Amino acid sequence: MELGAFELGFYYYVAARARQWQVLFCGGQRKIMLDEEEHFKELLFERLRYYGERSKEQDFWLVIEPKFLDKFPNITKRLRRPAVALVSTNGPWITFMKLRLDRVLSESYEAVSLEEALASNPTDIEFEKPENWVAPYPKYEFGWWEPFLPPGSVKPKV
Amino acid sequence: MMAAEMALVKPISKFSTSTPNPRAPYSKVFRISMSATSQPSTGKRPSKKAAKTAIKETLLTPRFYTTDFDEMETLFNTEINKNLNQTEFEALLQEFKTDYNQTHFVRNKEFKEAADKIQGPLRQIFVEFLERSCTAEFSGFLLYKELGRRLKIYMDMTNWESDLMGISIDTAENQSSVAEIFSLMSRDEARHAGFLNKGLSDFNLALDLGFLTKARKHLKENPEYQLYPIFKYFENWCQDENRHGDFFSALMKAQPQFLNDWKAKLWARFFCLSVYVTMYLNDCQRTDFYEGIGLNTKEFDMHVIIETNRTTARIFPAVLDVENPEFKRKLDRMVEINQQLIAVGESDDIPVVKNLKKIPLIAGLASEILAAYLMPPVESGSVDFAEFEPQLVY
Repeated sequence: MELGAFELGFYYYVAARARQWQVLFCGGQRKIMLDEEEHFKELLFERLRYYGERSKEQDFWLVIEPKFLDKFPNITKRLRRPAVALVSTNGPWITFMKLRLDRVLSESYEAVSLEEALASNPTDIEFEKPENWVAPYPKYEFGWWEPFLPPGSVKPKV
Repeated sequence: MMAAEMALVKPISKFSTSTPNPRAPYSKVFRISMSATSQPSTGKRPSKKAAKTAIKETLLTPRFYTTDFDEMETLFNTEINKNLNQTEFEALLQEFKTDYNQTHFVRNKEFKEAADKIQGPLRQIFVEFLERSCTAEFSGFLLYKELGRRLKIYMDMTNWESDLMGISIDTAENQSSVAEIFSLMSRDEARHAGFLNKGLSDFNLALDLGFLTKARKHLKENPEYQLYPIFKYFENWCQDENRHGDFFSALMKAQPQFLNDWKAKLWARFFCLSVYVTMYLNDCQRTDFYEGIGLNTKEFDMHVIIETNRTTARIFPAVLDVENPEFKRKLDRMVEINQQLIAVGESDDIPVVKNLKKIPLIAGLASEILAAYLMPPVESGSVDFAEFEPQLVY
Protein backbone atom coordinates (compact mmCIF):
# COMPACT_ATOMS: atom_id res chain seq x y z
CA MET A 1 0.00 0.00 0.00
CA GLU A 2 1.30 3.45 -0.86
CA LEU A 3 0.51 6.66 0.97
CA GLY A 4 -0.94 8.80 -1.81
CA ALA A 5 1.31 11.55 -3.08
CA PHE A 6 3.81 11.33 -0.26
CA GLU A 7 7.27 9.91 -0.80
CA LEU A 8 8.43 8.09 2.28
CA GLY A 9 11.75 7.54 3.97
CA PHE A 10 13.44 4.97 6.15
CA TYR A 11 15.19 5.64 9.45
CA TYR A 12 18.18 3.57 10.42
CA TYR A 13 20.54 3.04 13.33
CA VAL A 14 24.13 1.84 12.96
CA ALA A 15 26.45 0.93 15.83
CA ALA A 16 30.21 0.67 15.23
CA ARG A 17 32.78 -0.51 17.76
CA ALA A 18 34.09 2.93 18.58
CA ARG A 19 31.08 4.94 17.53
CA GLN A 20 27.36 4.73 17.14
CA TRP A 21 26.14 5.48 13.64
CA GLN A 22 22.63 6.60 12.89
CA VAL A 23 21.17 6.67 9.43
CA LEU A 24 18.06 8.06 7.77
CA PHE A 25 17.00 6.24 4.62
CA CYS A 26 14.73 7.47 1.91
CA GLY A 27 13.24 5.35 -0.87
CA GLY A 28 11.11 6.08 -3.92
CA GLN A 29 13.74 7.84 -6.03
CA ARG A 30 14.90 9.64 -2.87
CA LYS A 31 12.52 12.52 -3.51
CA ILE A 32 11.98 13.45 0.13
CA MET A 33 15.67 14.18 0.61
CA LEU A 34 17.14 15.12 -2.73
CA ASP A 35 14.38 16.57 -4.88
CA GLU A 36 11.21 17.78 -3.19
CA GLU A 37 12.06 19.07 0.26
CA GLU A 38 13.90 22.39 -0.03
CA HIS A 39 14.28 22.73 3.72
CA PHE A 40 16.30 19.49 3.85
CA LYS A 41 18.97 20.86 1.53
CA GLU A 42 19.02 24.17 3.39
CA LEU A 43 19.24 22.45 6.76
CA LEU A 44 22.27 20.38 5.70
CA PHE A 45 24.09 23.41 4.32
CA GLU A 46 23.28 25.38 7.47
CA ARG A 47 24.81 22.59 9.55
CA LEU A 48 27.86 22.45 7.28
CA ARG A 49 28.30 26.23 7.64
CA TYR A 50 27.98 25.94 11.42
CA TYR A 51 30.63 23.20 11.53
CA GLY A 52 32.95 25.31 9.39
CA GLU A 53 32.53 28.36 11.63
CA ARG A 54 33.48 26.29 14.67
CA SER A 55 36.14 24.15 12.96
CA LYS A 56 34.16 21.00 13.76
CA GLU A 57 34.83 17.84 11.79
CA GLN A 58 31.95 16.79 9.57
CA ASP A 59 30.05 13.86 11.09
CA PHE A 60 27.12 13.49 8.69
CA TRP A 61 26.94 12.22 5.12
CA LEU A 62 24.50 11.27 2.41
CA VAL A 63 25.01 7.74 1.08
CA ILE A 64 23.29 6.88 -2.18
CA GLU A 65 22.08 3.25 -2.40
CA PRO A 66 23.85 1.99 0.77
CA LYS A 67 25.19 -1.57 0.66
CA PHE A 68 24.03 -2.79 4.06
CA LEU A 69 20.37 -2.14 3.25
CA ASP A 70 20.05 -5.62 1.71
CA LYS A 71 20.64 -7.22 5.10
CA PHE A 72 17.06 -6.33 6.02
CA PRO A 73 14.59 -8.18 3.78
CA ASN A 74 11.63 -7.05 5.91
CA ILE A 75 12.66 -3.46 5.36
CA THR A 76 13.67 -3.65 1.71
CA LYS A 77 10.33 -5.09 0.63
CA ARG A 78 8.73 -1.94 2.05
CA LEU A 79 11.30 0.43 0.58
CA ARG A 80 11.30 1.50 -3.05
CA ARG A 81 14.74 1.53 -4.61
CA PRO A 82 17.18 3.07 -5.15
CA ALA A 83 17.50 4.69 -1.74
CA VAL A 84 19.59 7.39 -0.09
CA ALA A 85 20.81 7.46 3.51
CA LEU A 86 21.62 10.34 5.81
CA VAL A 87 24.34 8.99 8.11
CA SER A 88 25.58 10.63 11.30
CA THR A 89 27.38 9.85 14.54
CA ASN A 90 25.06 12.29 16.32
CA GLY A 91 22.07 10.34 17.63
CA PRO A 92 19.93 13.25 18.88
CA TRP A 93 20.34 15.04 15.56
CA ILE A 94 19.04 12.01 13.67
CA THR A 95 16.10 11.86 16.09
CA PHE A 96 15.45 15.50 15.24
CA MET A 97 15.70 14.74 11.51
CA LYS A 98 13.22 11.89 11.93
CA LEU A 99 10.80 14.34 13.52
CA ARG A 100 11.36 16.79 10.66
CA LEU A 101 10.88 14.27 7.83
CA ASP A 102 8.22 12.15 9.60
CA ARG A 103 7.62 9.60 6.84
CA VAL A 104 10.43 7.25 7.80
CA LEU A 105 11.06 3.70 9.07
CA SER A 106 13.47 2.75 11.86
CA GLU A 107 15.81 -0.19 12.26
CA SER A 108 19.23 -0.90 13.81
CA TYR A 109 22.48 -2.09 12.26
CA GLU A 110 26.03 -2.73 13.39
CA ALA A 111 29.03 -1.63 11.37
CA VAL A 112 32.63 -2.25 12.38
CA SER A 113 34.17 0.60 10.38
CA LEU A 114 33.49 3.96 8.81
CA GLU A 115 33.94 2.42 5.36
CA GLU A 116 31.29 -0.20 6.06
CA ALA A 117 28.87 2.35 7.48
CA LEU A 118 29.22 4.57 4.40
CA ALA A 119 29.56 1.88 1.72
CA SER A 120 27.34 2.30 -1.33
CA ASN A 121 26.49 0.70 -4.66
CA PRO A 122 27.02 2.83 -7.78
CA THR A 123 23.74 4.02 -9.26
CA ASP A 124 22.37 6.67 -11.58
CA ILE A 125 19.91 9.28 -10.36
CA GLU A 126 16.89 10.48 -12.29
CA PHE A 127 14.34 13.09 -11.32
CA GLU A 128 11.43 14.13 -13.48
CA LYS A 129 11.11 17.83 -14.11
CA PRO A 130 7.89 19.13 -12.55
CA GLU A 131 5.14 19.86 -15.06
CA ASN A 132 3.89 22.88 -13.17
CA TRP A 133 6.59 24.67 -11.17
CA VAL A 134 4.82 27.53 -9.38
CA ALA A 135 7.73 28.92 -7.38
CA PRO A 136 9.10 32.36 -8.33
CA TYR A 137 12.59 30.84 -8.59
CA PRO A 138 14.15 27.75 -10.22
CA LYS A 139 14.54 24.42 -8.44
CA TYR A 140 17.77 23.68 -6.62
CA GLU A 141 20.45 22.43 -8.99
CA PHE A 142 20.82 18.71 -9.55
CA GLY A 143 23.79 17.48 -7.53
CA TRP A 144 23.47 19.94 -4.63
CA TRP A 145 24.09 16.94 -2.35
CA GLU A 146 27.66 16.27 -3.55
CA PRO A 147 29.36 18.06 -0.59
CA PHE A 148 27.65 15.52 1.68
CA LEU A 149 28.72 12.34 -0.10
CA PRO A 150 31.32 10.22 1.76
CA PRO A 151 34.99 10.99 1.08
CA GLY A 152 36.19 9.29 -2.10
CA SER A 153 32.74 8.22 -3.24
CA VAL A 154 31.93 8.13 -6.95
CA LYS A 155 29.62 10.98 -7.92
CA PRO A 156 26.40 9.53 -9.40
CA LYS A 157 25.62 10.45 -12.99
CA VAL A 158 22.40 12.08 -14.14
CA MET B 1 13.93 52.10 20.26
CA MET B 2 12.83 51.32 23.80
CA ALA B 3 9.79 53.52 23.32
CA ALA B 4 8.81 51.53 20.26
CA GLU B 5 9.28 48.27 22.14
CA MET B 6 7.31 49.48 25.15
CA ALA B 7 4.51 50.53 22.84
CA LEU B 8 4.40 46.93 21.69
CA VAL B 9 4.55 45.53 25.21
CA LYS B 10 1.73 47.57 26.69
CA PRO B 11 -1.25 45.91 24.99
CA ILE B 12 -0.42 42.46 26.36
CA SER B 13 -2.95 42.57 29.13
CA LYS B 14 -3.60 38.83 29.08
CA PHE B 15 -0.14 37.91 30.35
CA SER B 16 -1.04 37.33 33.97
CA THR B 17 1.66 37.67 36.59
CA SER B 18 -0.19 35.53 39.10
CA THR B 19 1.41 32.36 40.42
CA PRO B 20 0.61 29.39 38.19
CA ASN B 21 -1.68 26.76 39.62
CA PRO B 22 -0.03 23.34 39.32
CA ARG B 23 -3.24 21.66 40.39
CA ALA B 24 -5.30 23.20 37.61
CA PRO B 25 -7.68 20.58 36.21
CA TYR B 26 -6.58 18.98 32.95
CA SER B 27 -8.41 20.43 30.00
CA LYS B 28 -8.71 18.82 26.60
CA VAL B 29 -8.65 22.10 24.73
CA PHE B 30 -5.42 23.95 23.94
CA ARG B 31 -6.20 27.49 22.82
CA ILE B 32 -4.05 30.15 21.27
CA SER B 33 -5.85 33.41 20.79
CA MET B 34 -4.89 36.78 19.39
CA SER B 35 -5.37 39.98 21.29
CA ALA B 36 -7.22 42.63 19.33
CA THR B 37 -5.97 45.47 21.48
CA SER B 38 -2.58 46.04 20.00
CA GLN B 39 -2.60 49.76 19.35
CA PRO B 40 0.64 51.39 20.41
CA SER B 41 0.48 53.48 23.55
CA THR B 42 -0.31 57.13 23.12
CA GLY B 43 2.02 58.35 25.83
CA LYS B 44 4.76 60.85 25.00
CA ARG B 45 7.95 59.41 23.62
CA PRO B 46 11.45 60.75 23.16
CA SER B 47 11.59 62.68 19.90
CA LYS B 48 13.30 61.08 16.94
CA LYS B 49 14.24 62.38 13.52
CA ALA B 50 10.78 61.49 12.30
CA ALA B 51 7.70 60.77 14.37
CA LYS B 52 6.51 57.18 14.14
CA THR B 53 2.88 56.85 13.16
CA ALA B 54 0.64 54.36 14.95
CA ILE B 55 0.22 50.96 13.33
CA LYS B 56 -3.11 50.89 11.54
CA GLU B 57 -5.35 48.15 12.96
CA THR B 58 -7.77 46.32 10.66
CA LEU B 59 -9.45 42.94 10.78
CA LEU B 60 -6.53 41.25 9.03
CA THR B 61 -3.45 42.95 10.49
CA PRO B 62 -1.17 41.10 12.94
CA ARG B 63 -2.07 41.21 16.61
CA PHE B 64 -0.40 39.86 19.71
CA TYR B 65 -0.67 36.19 20.52
CA THR B 66 -1.51 34.84 23.94
CA THR B 67 -2.63 31.49 25.35
CA ASP B 68 -4.04 29.77 28.44
CA PHE B 69 -0.92 29.30 30.53
CA ASP B 70 -2.59 27.11 33.16
CA GLU B 71 -3.63 24.63 30.47
CA MET B 72 -0.14 24.67 29.00
CA GLU B 73 1.28 23.77 32.40
CA THR B 74 -0.93 20.69 32.67
CA LEU B 75 -0.22 19.57 29.09
CA PHE B 76 3.37 18.76 30.06
CA ASN B 77 2.60 16.71 33.14
CA THR B 78 3.58 13.10 32.35
CA GLU B 79 1.27 11.76 35.02
CA ILE B 80 -1.63 13.13 33.00
CA ASN B 81 -0.07 12.92 29.56
CA LYS B 82 1.60 9.56 28.97
CA ASN B 83 2.52 10.36 25.37
CA LEU B 84 5.29 12.89 25.89
CA ASN B 85 8.28 11.63 23.93
CA GLN B 86 11.26 12.57 26.08
CA THR B 87 13.70 11.50 23.35
CA GLU B 88 12.12 13.83 20.80
CA PHE B 89 12.08 16.79 23.17
CA GLU B 90 15.70 16.18 24.20
CA ALA B 91 16.73 15.99 20.53
CA LEU B 92 14.89 19.25 19.86
CA LEU B 93 16.53 20.86 22.87
CA GLN B 94 19.98 19.91 21.55
CA GLU B 95 19.09 21.38 18.16
CA PHE B 96 17.96 24.67 19.72
CA LYS B 97 21.03 24.82 21.95
CA THR B 98 23.26 24.47 18.89
CA ASP B 99 22.12 27.99 17.95
CA TYR B 100 23.17 27.94 14.31
CA ASN B 101 22.50 31.64 13.82
CA GLN B 102 24.14 33.05 16.95
CA THR B 103 26.56 35.15 14.90
CA HIS B 104 24.50 35.45 11.75
CA PHE B 105 22.30 38.52 12.25
CA VAL B 106 24.99 41.18 12.08
CA ARG B 107 24.34 44.50 10.36
CA ASN B 108 26.75 46.39 8.14
CA LYS B 109 26.87 49.73 6.31
CA GLU B 110 24.86 48.31 3.40
CA PHE B 111 21.68 48.68 5.43
CA LYS B 112 21.64 52.45 5.75
CA GLU B 113 22.86 52.94 2.18
CA ALA B 114 20.12 50.68 0.81
CA ALA B 115 17.42 52.30 2.94
CA ASP B 116 18.34 55.75 1.64
CA LYS B 117 17.90 54.52 -1.94
CA ILE B 118 14.34 53.32 -1.31
CA GLN B 119 12.24 56.39 -2.04
CA GLY B 120 8.76 57.32 -3.21
CA PRO B 121 5.68 55.13 -2.69
CA LEU B 122 7.80 51.98 -2.40
CA ARG B 123 9.50 53.35 0.72
CA GLN B 124 6.21 53.63 2.60
CA ILE B 125 5.09 50.20 1.38
CA PHE B 126 8.38 48.70 2.50
CA VAL B 127 8.23 50.41 5.88
CA GLU B 128 4.71 49.05 6.49
CA PHE B 129 5.95 45.56 5.63
CA LEU B 130 8.81 45.87 8.10
CA GLU B 131 6.55 47.36 10.77
CA ARG B 132 3.98 44.54 10.54
CA SER B 133 6.66 41.91 10.80
CA CYS B 134 8.43 43.35 13.79
CA THR B 135 5.10 43.30 15.61
CA ALA B 136 4.75 39.59 14.83
CA GLU B 137 8.32 38.73 15.85
CA PHE B 138 8.13 40.72 19.06
CA SER B 139 4.78 39.14 19.85
CA GLY B 140 6.29 35.67 19.42
CA PHE B 141 9.14 36.64 21.71
CA LEU B 142 6.73 37.75 24.44
CA LEU B 143 4.56 34.63 24.18
CA TYR B 144 7.46 32.15 24.20
CA LYS B 145 9.26 33.99 26.98
CA GLU B 146 6.18 33.92 29.19
CA LEU B 147 5.53 30.25 28.41
CA GLY B 148 9.13 29.39 29.22
CA ARG B 149 8.93 31.34 32.47
CA ARG B 150 5.61 29.85 33.55
CA LEU B 151 6.62 26.28 32.71
CA LYS B 152 9.93 26.80 34.52
CA ILE B 153 8.08 27.93 37.67
CA TYR B 154 5.88 24.86 37.49
CA MET B 155 8.89 22.62 36.90
CA ASP B 156 10.67 24.11 39.94
CA MET B 157 7.57 23.51 42.05
CA THR B 158 7.45 19.86 41.02
CA ASN B 159 11.00 19.40 42.27
CA TRP B 160 10.09 20.21 45.87
CA GLU B 161 6.42 19.24 45.76
CA SER B 162 6.82 15.98 43.87
CA ASP B 163 6.05 13.75 46.87
CA LEU B 164 3.11 15.83 47.98
CA MET B 165 1.61 16.08 44.50
CA GLY B 166 2.53 12.60 43.29
CA ILE B 167 4.43 13.91 40.27
CA SER B 168 7.41 11.87 39.12
CA ILE B 169 10.88 13.29 38.47
CA ASP B 170 10.36 12.44 34.78
CA THR B 171 7.70 15.13 34.76
CA ALA B 172 10.15 17.72 35.99
CA GLU B 173 12.71 16.68 33.39
CA ASN B 174 10.16 16.84 30.61
CA GLN B 175 8.88 20.21 31.70
CA SER B 176 12.45 21.38 32.00
CA SER B 177 13.09 20.45 28.34
CA VAL B 178 9.89 22.06 27.13
CA ALA B 179 10.39 25.18 29.25
CA GLU B 180 13.95 25.56 27.99
CA ILE B 181 12.87 25.10 24.37
CA PHE B 182 10.28 27.85 24.78
CA SER B 183 12.97 30.09 26.25
CA LEU B 184 15.33 29.31 23.36
CA MET B 185 12.57 30.04 20.85
CA SER B 186 12.03 33.37 22.58
CA ARG B 187 15.77 33.96 22.10
CA ASP B 188 15.32 33.43 18.35
CA GLU B 189 12.30 35.71 18.16
CA ALA B 190 14.03 38.41 20.21
CA ARG B 191 17.03 38.21 17.91
CA HIS B 192 14.78 38.59 14.87
CA ALA B 193 12.80 41.47 16.39
CA GLY B 194 15.96 43.19 17.59
CA PHE B 195 17.59 42.84 14.19
CA LEU B 196 14.55 44.46 12.63
CA ASN B 197 14.32 47.17 15.26
CA LYS B 198 17.88 48.22 14.54
CA GLY B 199 16.49 49.33 11.21
CA LEU B 200 15.00 52.27 13.11
CA SER B 201 18.20 54.14 12.40
CA ASP B 202 17.68 53.43 8.70
CA PHE B 203 13.95 54.14 8.40
CA ASN B 204 13.19 55.92 11.69
CA LEU B 205 10.64 53.17 12.34
CA ALA B 206 10.14 49.60 13.65
CA LEU B 207 10.13 46.55 11.36
CA ASP B 208 8.43 43.05 10.36
CA LEU B 209 9.25 39.86 8.48
CA GLY B 210 6.15 37.67 8.50
CA PHE B 211 6.13 36.63 4.85
CA LEU B 212 9.76 35.54 4.76
CA THR B 213 9.14 31.84 4.15
CA LYS B 214 9.77 31.61 0.42
CA ALA B 215 10.89 34.97 -0.93
CA ARG B 216 14.53 34.60 0.06
CA LYS B 217 15.34 32.12 -2.73
CA HIS B 218 13.74 34.29 -5.40
CA LEU B 219 15.77 37.26 -4.17
CA LYS B 220 19.00 35.28 -4.24
CA GLU B 221 18.29 34.40 -7.88
CA ASN B 222 17.27 37.99 -8.72
CA PRO B 223 19.62 40.35 -6.86
CA GLU B 224 18.24 43.41 -8.66
CA TYR B 225 15.21 43.13 -6.36
CA GLN B 226 17.35 42.99 -3.22
CA LEU B 227 16.14 46.42 -2.12
CA TYR B 228 17.40 46.12 1.43
CA PRO B 229 20.07 43.71 2.76
CA ILE B 230 17.62 42.14 5.20
CA PHE B 231 16.52 39.75 2.44
CA LYS B 232 19.98 38.15 2.47
CA TYR B 233 19.22 36.85 5.95
CA PHE B 234 15.96 35.14 5.04
CA GLU B 235 17.22 31.60 4.54
CA ASN B 236 18.75 31.34 8.00
CA TRP B 237 15.73 33.09 9.43
CA CYS B 238 13.54 30.45 7.78
CA GLN B 239 15.52 27.67 9.40
CA ASP B 240 14.89 29.21 12.83
CA GLU B 241 11.17 29.28 12.07
CA ASN B 242 11.24 25.73 10.69
CA ARG B 243 12.70 24.49 13.98
CA HIS B 244 9.93 26.26 15.86
CA GLY B 245 7.49 24.35 13.66
CA ASP B 246 9.25 21.07 14.49
CA PHE B 247 8.76 21.77 18.18
CA PHE B 248 5.04 22.37 17.73
CA SER B 249 4.82 19.16 15.71
CA ALA B 250 6.33 17.33 18.68
CA LEU B 251 3.87 19.04 21.03
CA MET B 252 0.93 17.96 18.89
CA LYS B 253 2.24 14.42 18.53
CA ALA B 254 2.37 14.36 22.33
CA GLN B 255 -1.38 15.12 22.34
CA PRO B 256 -2.76 12.54 19.86
CA GLN B 257 -6.27 12.94 21.25
CA PHE B 258 -6.33 16.30 19.44
CA LEU B 259 -5.38 14.68 16.14
CA ASN B 260 -7.18 11.38 15.79
CA ASP B 261 -10.90 11.99 15.48
CA TRP B 262 -13.36 13.59 13.05
CA LYS B 263 -13.44 16.83 15.03
CA ALA B 264 -9.68 17.16 14.68
CA LYS B 265 -10.00 16.85 10.91
CA LEU B 266 -12.60 19.60 10.79
CA TRP B 267 -10.52 21.87 13.02
CA ALA B 268 -7.35 21.21 10.99
CA ARG B 269 -9.09 22.17 7.76
CA PHE B 270 -10.60 25.26 9.40
CA PHE B 271 -7.25 26.37 10.75
CA CYS B 272 -5.50 25.92 7.38
CA LEU B 273 -8.27 27.71 5.52
CA SER B 274 -8.32 30.67 7.90
CA VAL B 275 -4.55 31.10 7.55
CA TYR B 276 -4.51 30.75 3.76
CA VAL B 277 -7.50 33.03 3.15
CA THR B 278 -6.18 35.71 5.50
CA MET B 279 -2.77 35.65 3.85
CA TYR B 280 -4.14 35.67 0.31
CA LEU B 281 -6.58 38.53 0.93
CA ASN B 282 -3.98 40.52 2.85
CA ASP B 283 -1.28 40.13 0.23
CA CYS B 284 -3.61 40.94 -2.64
CA GLN B 285 -4.14 44.31 -0.93
CA ARG B 286 -0.36 44.78 -0.96
CA THR B 287 0.55 43.85 -4.51
CA ASP B 288 2.70 46.99 -4.82
CA PHE B 289 5.11 45.61 -2.25
CA TYR B 290 5.46 42.21 -3.91
CA GLU B 291 5.76 43.71 -7.38
CA GLY B 292 8.39 46.07 -5.97
CA ILE B 293 10.59 43.07 -5.20
CA GLY B 294 9.78 41.35 -8.49
CA LEU B 295 7.15 38.84 -7.37
CA ASN B 296 3.76 37.99 -8.80
CA THR B 297 1.64 38.21 -5.64
CA LYS B 298 -0.86 35.46 -6.44
CA GLU B 299 1.69 33.02 -7.84
CA PHE B 300 3.97 33.60 -4.88
CA ASP B 301 1.15 33.15 -2.37
CA MET B 302 0.00 29.92 -4.00
CA HIS B 303 3.53 28.56 -3.80
CA VAL B 304 3.71 29.43 -0.10
CA ILE B 305 0.27 27.88 0.50
CA ILE B 306 1.21 24.64 -1.31
CA GLU B 307 4.52 24.29 0.54
CA THR B 308 2.88 25.11 3.89
CA ASN B 309 0.13 22.58 3.22
CA ARG B 310 2.68 19.85 2.51
CA THR B 311 4.38 20.59 5.80
CA THR B 312 1.18 20.64 7.85
CA ALA B 313 0.17 17.35 6.22
CA ARG B 314 2.93 15.69 8.24
CA ILE B 315 0.99 16.31 11.44
CA PHE B 316 -2.61 17.41 10.75
CA PRO B 317 -5.04 14.50 10.16
CA ALA B 318 -6.58 16.25 7.14
CA VAL B 319 -5.56 19.18 4.98
CA LEU B 320 -7.13 21.20 2.19
CA ASP B 321 -6.71 20.15 -1.43
CA VAL B 322 -4.85 23.34 -2.28
CA GLU B 323 -3.34 21.91 -5.47
CA ASN B 324 -6.81 21.53 -6.95
CA PRO B 325 -7.21 24.46 -9.41
CA GLU B 326 -10.70 25.07 -8.01
CA PHE B 327 -9.17 26.09 -4.68
CA LYS B 328 -7.26 28.96 -6.29
CA ARG B 329 -10.35 29.99 -8.26
CA LYS B 330 -12.24 30.29 -4.99
CA LEU B 331 -9.45 32.38 -3.45
CA ASP B 332 -9.48 34.69 -6.47
CA ARG B 333 -13.24 35.15 -6.18
CA MET B 334 -12.76 36.01 -2.49
CA VAL B 335 -10.22 38.67 -3.51
CA GLU B 336 -12.71 40.22 -5.95
CA ILE B 337 -15.44 40.34 -3.31
CA ASN B 338 -13.04 41.71 -0.71
CA GLN B 339 -11.98 44.48 -3.09
CA GLN B 340 -15.64 45.38 -3.61
CA LEU B 341 -16.12 45.47 0.17
CA ILE B 342 -13.16 47.83 0.52
CA ALA B 343 -14.53 50.05 -2.25
CA VAL B 344 -17.92 50.24 -0.50
CA GLY B 345 -16.20 51.10 2.77
CA GLU B 346 -14.26 53.92 1.13
CA SER B 347 -17.27 55.34 -0.72
CA ASP B 348 -19.05 58.55 0.27
CA ASP B 349 -22.35 56.79 1.00
CA ILE B 350 -23.98 57.21 4.38
CA PRO B 351 -23.31 54.35 6.86
CA VAL B 352 -26.76 52.78 6.41
CA VAL B 353 -26.35 52.56 2.63
CA LYS B 354 -22.82 51.21 3.03
CA ASN B 355 -24.05 48.47 5.35
CA LEU B 356 -26.86 47.52 2.97
CA LYS B 357 -24.40 47.30 0.08
CA LYS B 358 -22.06 45.16 2.18
CA ILE B 359 -24.67 42.51 3.09
CA PRO B 360 -24.70 40.63 -0.26
CA LEU B 361 -20.91 40.95 -0.53
CA ILE B 362 -20.33 39.51 2.94
CA ALA B 363 -22.78 36.72 2.14
CA GLY B 364 -20.90 36.01 -1.09
CA LEU B 365 -17.56 35.96 0.72
CA ALA B 366 -18.92 33.64 3.40
CA SER B 367 -20.32 31.26 0.79
CA GLU B 368 -16.96 31.10 -1.02
CA ILE B 369 -15.14 30.39 2.24
CA LEU B 370 -17.67 27.68 3.12
CA ALA B 371 -17.38 26.15 -0.35
CA ALA B 372 -13.59 26.04 -0.02
CA TYR B 373 -13.93 24.44 3.42
CA LEU B 374 -16.30 21.78 2.08
CA MET B 375 -14.05 20.75 -0.81
CA PRO B 376 -13.00 17.08 -0.40
CA PRO B 377 -9.96 17.14 1.90
CA VAL B 378 -6.68 15.24 1.62
CA GLU B 379 -6.23 12.62 4.34
CA SER B 380 -2.88 13.17 6.02
CA GLY B 381 -1.04 13.04 9.35
CA SER B 382 2.09 11.59 10.91
CA VAL B 383 2.82 7.97 10.00
CA ASP B 384 3.52 7.44 13.69
CA PHE B 385 -0.26 7.42 14.15
CA ALA B 386 -1.23 5.63 10.93
CA GLU B 387 -3.16 2.40 11.56
CA PHE B 388 -2.13 1.15 8.12
CA GLU B 389 1.58 1.92 8.71
CA PRO B 390 2.72 -1.75 8.61
CA GLN B 391 1.42 -1.99 5.03
CA LEU B 392 3.05 1.22 3.79
CA VAL B 393 5.57 1.11 0.99
CA TYR B 394 8.26 3.69 1.70
